[in-house]
Amino acid sequence: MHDIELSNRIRVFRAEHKLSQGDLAAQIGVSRKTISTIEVGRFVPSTVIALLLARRFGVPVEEIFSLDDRS
Amino acid sequence: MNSTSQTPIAEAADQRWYLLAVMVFLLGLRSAIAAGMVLVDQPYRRYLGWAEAVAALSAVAIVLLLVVFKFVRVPRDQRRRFLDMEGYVKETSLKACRASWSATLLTLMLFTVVFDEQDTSMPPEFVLQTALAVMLGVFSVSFFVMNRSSDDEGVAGA
Repeated sequence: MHDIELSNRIRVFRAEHKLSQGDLAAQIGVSRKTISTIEVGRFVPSTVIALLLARRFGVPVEEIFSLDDRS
Repeated sequence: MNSTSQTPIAEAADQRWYLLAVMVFLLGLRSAIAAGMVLVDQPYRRYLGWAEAVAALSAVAIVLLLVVFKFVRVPRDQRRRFLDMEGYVKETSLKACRASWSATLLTLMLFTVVFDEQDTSMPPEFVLQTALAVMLGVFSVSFFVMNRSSDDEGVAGA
């Protein structure tokens, strides 16, 4: 596999929707720590969590998550 | 995972993992003390025996706490899902299991090599308790290291 990194725009979407990490976590049914670690790139979310985030923000998953080529 | 009422359960699932890790640490400590008891003289064994009993009783207390925790914090219809709640903390517990397995295997291989080369044998009690201490200790310590408070706290706000 190429040297790639998963980046995300959750923080941007949270700001647009005026949501705290706790609010977002509550709305998709995960813990706040899970949201915070996804935001900083420490945790790669499952497909289910990614889809729940996309549904909450009303955008396709690709608008929230993208693959960055580090090479 | 699409209801607001589920987040307390998600937080409770994380807290359950922390409690489990503390219990595992105490059991690892108990095993380390038990291994140490094999090597020391009788007067010291008495003190180590007390320490071992304290560690074991503390672990049992956490088991009871976990049972109460589950029945108080989690509604009946959510209990099955509660055990399989996905998230960062559960992911780190799986990573800690992998680290624990590797460390235990290395410890047992080390014992095998040392005993073969020195043509001596250690008491089985010592070998067993040391392997258990490594297994449980590596799991709990690596879990705590991966879950220590860090930069993620700084981005909590909206």
